[in-house]
Amino acid sequence: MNAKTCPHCRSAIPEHAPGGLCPACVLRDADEAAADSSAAPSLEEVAAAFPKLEIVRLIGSGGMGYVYQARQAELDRMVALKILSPALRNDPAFEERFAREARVLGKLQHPNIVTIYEHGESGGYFYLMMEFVDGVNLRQAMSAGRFSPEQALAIVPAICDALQSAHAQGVWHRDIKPENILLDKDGRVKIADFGIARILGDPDRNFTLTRTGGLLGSAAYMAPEQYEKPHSVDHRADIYSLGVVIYEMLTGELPLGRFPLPSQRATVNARIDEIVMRTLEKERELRQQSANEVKTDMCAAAMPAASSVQAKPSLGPTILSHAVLFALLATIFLVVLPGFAEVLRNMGVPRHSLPRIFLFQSVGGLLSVSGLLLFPLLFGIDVGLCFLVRKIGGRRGLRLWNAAFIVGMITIGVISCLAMYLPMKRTISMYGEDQSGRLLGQQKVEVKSDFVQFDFSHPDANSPGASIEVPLRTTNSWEPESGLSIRMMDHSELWVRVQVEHISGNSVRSLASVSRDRLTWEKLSITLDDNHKSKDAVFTNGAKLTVKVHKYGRPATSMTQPMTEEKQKMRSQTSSIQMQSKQNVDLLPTIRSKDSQSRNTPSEAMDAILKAARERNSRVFQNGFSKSFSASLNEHGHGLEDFGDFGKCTLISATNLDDTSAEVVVEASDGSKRRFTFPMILEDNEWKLNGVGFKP
Amino acid sequence: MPGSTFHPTRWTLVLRACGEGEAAKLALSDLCEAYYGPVVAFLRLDGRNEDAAREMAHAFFESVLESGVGTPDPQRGRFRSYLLGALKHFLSKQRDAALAEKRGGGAEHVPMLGETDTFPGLPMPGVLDDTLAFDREWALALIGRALATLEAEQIGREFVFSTLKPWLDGGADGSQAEAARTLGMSETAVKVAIHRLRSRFRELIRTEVAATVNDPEEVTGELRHLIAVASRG
Repeated sequence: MNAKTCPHCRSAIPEHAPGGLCPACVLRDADEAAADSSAAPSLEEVAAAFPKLEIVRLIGSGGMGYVYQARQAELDRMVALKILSPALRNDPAFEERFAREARVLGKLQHPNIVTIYEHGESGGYFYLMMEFVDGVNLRQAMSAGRFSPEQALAIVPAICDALQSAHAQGVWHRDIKPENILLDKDGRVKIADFGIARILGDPDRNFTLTRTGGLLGSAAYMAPEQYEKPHSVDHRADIYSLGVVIYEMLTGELPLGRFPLPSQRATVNARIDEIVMRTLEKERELRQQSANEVKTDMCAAAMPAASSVQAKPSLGPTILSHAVLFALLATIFLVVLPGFAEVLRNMGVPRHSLPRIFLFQSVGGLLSVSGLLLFPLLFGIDVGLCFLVRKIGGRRGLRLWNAAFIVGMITIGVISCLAMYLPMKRTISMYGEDQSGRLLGQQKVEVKSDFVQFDFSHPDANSPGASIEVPLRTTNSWEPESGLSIRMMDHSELWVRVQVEHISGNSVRSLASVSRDRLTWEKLSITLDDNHKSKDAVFTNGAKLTVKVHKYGRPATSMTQPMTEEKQKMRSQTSSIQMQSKQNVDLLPTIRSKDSQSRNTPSEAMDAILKAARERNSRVFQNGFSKSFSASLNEHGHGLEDFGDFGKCTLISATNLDDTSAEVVVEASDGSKRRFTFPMILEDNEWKLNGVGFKP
Repeated sequence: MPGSTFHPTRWTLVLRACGEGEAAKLALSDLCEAYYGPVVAFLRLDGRNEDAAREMAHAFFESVLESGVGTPDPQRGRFRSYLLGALKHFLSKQRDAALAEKRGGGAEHVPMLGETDTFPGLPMPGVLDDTLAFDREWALALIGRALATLEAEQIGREFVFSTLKPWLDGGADGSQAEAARTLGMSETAVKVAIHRLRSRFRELIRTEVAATVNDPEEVTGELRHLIAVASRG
């Protein structure tokens, strides 16, 4: 047994020791590493290292270091001082990584993210100074008592907002777990330790799976790809972790092995099941593709009576407004009636025919719904006509006239009522363009439906092409509730922008349009086939566009109501098509976020950015992008290596792709155009392009 | 709230293995693989030859999963103690059953053990205490698993890993400069690589230990115990 002795500790190394390593040394090593980090620096030590701070107490420790509550006397505020574990210094690459990552994290600004005020090295400690959150973490909150589903789901939107904002800036959290979700005294949600995993992690592995002290706690919240292919982890790993947290909040358990649906453990509806299970999909392509999507789905699903609650407002105001109108007219009618009667009598109209005139004319007028506004006018004209008829045709003539009038009014009323509830007319224009921004096609489609599906076939016959469903929103008040701008991205070839115009009477209102004034537009007009069901269009590069209209002729309904089963089916069909084609089909967040967000939407923001850029015109890119800008972007993997020396260029357009990134087209001095994608940031409640020099 | 501190540990494996179906089978084979070494070592020291010990180990794992030794209770603490307790319990039952079979059963037997000089409880010079042996094998199995995980993580860098492996316990005699030459890397790069491997290895060891205790607080205690066991003798 004692074939070998360890040269260091003199203990025996068994023959079958794994790897021939000394077990005692290996274990001691692991123990010492932990001991290093378990000895938290005393308050005095920390105070000596940070002379400007009053260190109040140690509030937490973990694999990554220690957190102290401290007071920053100068600013009279409490801060949380995170001192990173001294053991990390042993990693030669740590210092550089720390500086780089902390800089990025310092830029994260969101009400639901713990703000990092400062970072650096002081008195031999690497530290992050951040917002002090007076409260508990979600783990503690959960231990104190199980959450009701309502409580649990109330926390989710804030977490989603925080994630969405960070993701927009290219920062993935990588370690979402209850310990990192803080709840302050007012119940506000703050996410801590954004991106810390990356600071601590080995860049080769991109993150640390289970840190010393973090133990398996983190592992259960990690997306499968975080183990399997850590190099290609993206924001969707956070969505998985969020799903685990939601599952745990609802059920009190972790989703391990074959786990029950949340509704089997908590009183939540099947739609919550569906959303949670989707976040927990092993394949990230099957998960929600953004935190916003989780939030929107959650918000919609959390309202059990949503169909009645939400459908009504669109119908309610209409009935209400009609009722008000009727009441108003009735009042006017009653007020002016005696006066009118007096006038008519003075004109020679016989007294006994007055009630009939009033009755017939008012009934006829009221029946005509569309004539409501014209009623006083019609009434006046009618009275005048009555007088004339009486003069010319006598009593008999007046009786005939009255009969003809009432029949006519009833007919008009019925027709108006029918017209009122017939589907609205809409025009959909579509533009296709290729990757270089050249417009390939444009088409106008007149449809009457609340649902349109567009299929785009691909020049490459093997590629299935993308598919997009377009819900059209309309209200009975004939006013667009939100802009409808749908863009679809086919990675390889075709860009299509859909513009929806709203037709009401003779006026055409453009709800959303994309201005590409510097590009040559190549028109391609398309008319739908006879039954308005579908039409193909072929673009100049061979891309084919098929427009299919589903649910043709269906009465207009408000899109604010949640998905009906039918739509859900359609949606799942669409998502399966998306899956097959592996293409991103993004509806602009203008549609998704309208209900839940009051801040400006990316498309509005883009308009503003574009406008601002135009005002400054070519100044914007006159000097090209600075080296530092290019470098800082490269660090975050936005692939702009060949951009730095691009030189002078003029901004042609800036468009958001989704709510996390924007695309900018620039023209170089030699006339060539280039297209770049930048992450977008939400800053001061406004979207901005990350780092793009919109400053002169 | 029950469940909030629930981690996927060895307990999970046992609980999962108690069920039926594919998951249970998988968990059983995982469990056997992980703790085969310590159990066999213990059984051998209990006076069996290699084959008998293996056979008994199989029977033992099966009985564990049939809950023949009481329902596993994650609140009980260290998984090592639980498994050893279960093993001893299993052996005494086996002994009882064997005796009962031989003698026809029914009669009450007064154990004569404890009086003889071959009683396992009496430490004999030169022979390891069976509990110590079990724990020592346990430590080796644990290190083995951590090492296997580490190796599995080094896909595409197998050669680098096998070259640098001797430094994992912090005390290889070979020169790092030589390793650098072999790998065609700079000596600094080798140092960095060794550092990374070692810190990851440490993490994995602690993860393995953590998987066998109920409370993260106990990790250090368990680790110290294993260090003590590994350093003895």
